[in-house]
Amino acid sequence: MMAYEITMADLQPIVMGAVSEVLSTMFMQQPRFLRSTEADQVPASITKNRSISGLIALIQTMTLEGTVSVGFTSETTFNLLGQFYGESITRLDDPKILGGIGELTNMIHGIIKQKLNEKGFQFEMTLPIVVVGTNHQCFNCVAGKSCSFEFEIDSGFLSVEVFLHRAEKYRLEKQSAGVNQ
Amino acid sequence: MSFNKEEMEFLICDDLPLIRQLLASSLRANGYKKIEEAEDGKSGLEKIAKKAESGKPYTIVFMDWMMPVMTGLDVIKACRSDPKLKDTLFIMVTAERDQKNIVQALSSGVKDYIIKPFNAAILNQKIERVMGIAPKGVTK
Repeated sequence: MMAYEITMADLQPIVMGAVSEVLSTMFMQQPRFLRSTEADQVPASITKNRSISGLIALIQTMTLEGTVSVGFTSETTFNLLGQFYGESITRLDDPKILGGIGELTNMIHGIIKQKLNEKGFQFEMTLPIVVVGTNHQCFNCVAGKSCSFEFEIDSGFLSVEVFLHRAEKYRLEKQSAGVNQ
Repeated sequence: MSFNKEEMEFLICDDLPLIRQLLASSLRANGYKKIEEAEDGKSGLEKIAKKAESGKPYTIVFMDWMMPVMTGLDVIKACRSDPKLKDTLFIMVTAERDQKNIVQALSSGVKDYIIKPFNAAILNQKIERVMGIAPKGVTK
């Protein structure tokens, strides 16, 4: 049976597992979970203190769709990737930073997608985009559920937001079946 | 079967410096020394062809899936259709975990695949498996 709903309780272990696997494998840093936040107003944004974000859509042909975004402060980004590359990088628009954050987002998204697909979804792989801007916010402009998870790592802080929106096709299916929303 | 790590030659074909750096440092940590890099599929194919012409083809080519100019799958297909390059050993490097896409990669002729994120130990297990000195099923 296809699963139609994902709760905060479903998402938390998935996101924590994804962040932990990527950070510990790539950077030998074990993230420490700080807090989670949920919002459902429109436009919703519970991201904060971000200077760089990687965003990838969660797309499939039915039920839910959404976005995974992974955000870092400037200091965290320079610490984390500067140490990895073994050089001092001071610009967020440096190609090594943009590619690195895009790829980190890709890996975290890949694990979240896999775990959700094990629950019956059919999310596909899509391409990341990276947004740069001091203390920017990412707004979700349609109704849905926004779940944010904040972590502390040795290099600083990062947050992951999963936004989920009930797809139009699913609403039409329920209406034609006479099911109340 | 045994192999001389110092004689093995690798090509890393990936558009992302993060992954090239991770692969190169993981190879060096495992004692491999001869490592070359390509930033896109087209230049990767050119390097594979040039190396094969020299009579000493790469031992293993690590190939990204999604790349500009020419995708990893396109490079592999081009090699498979060229008699001089058809025996090139490829390991696909990808963040894709869906079985259907992995099956597609394997059916295109890659010897094995490695899912990001990975570390030096995981990479070495893959190399040993591809070289025939580790049993199947020991890596993730």
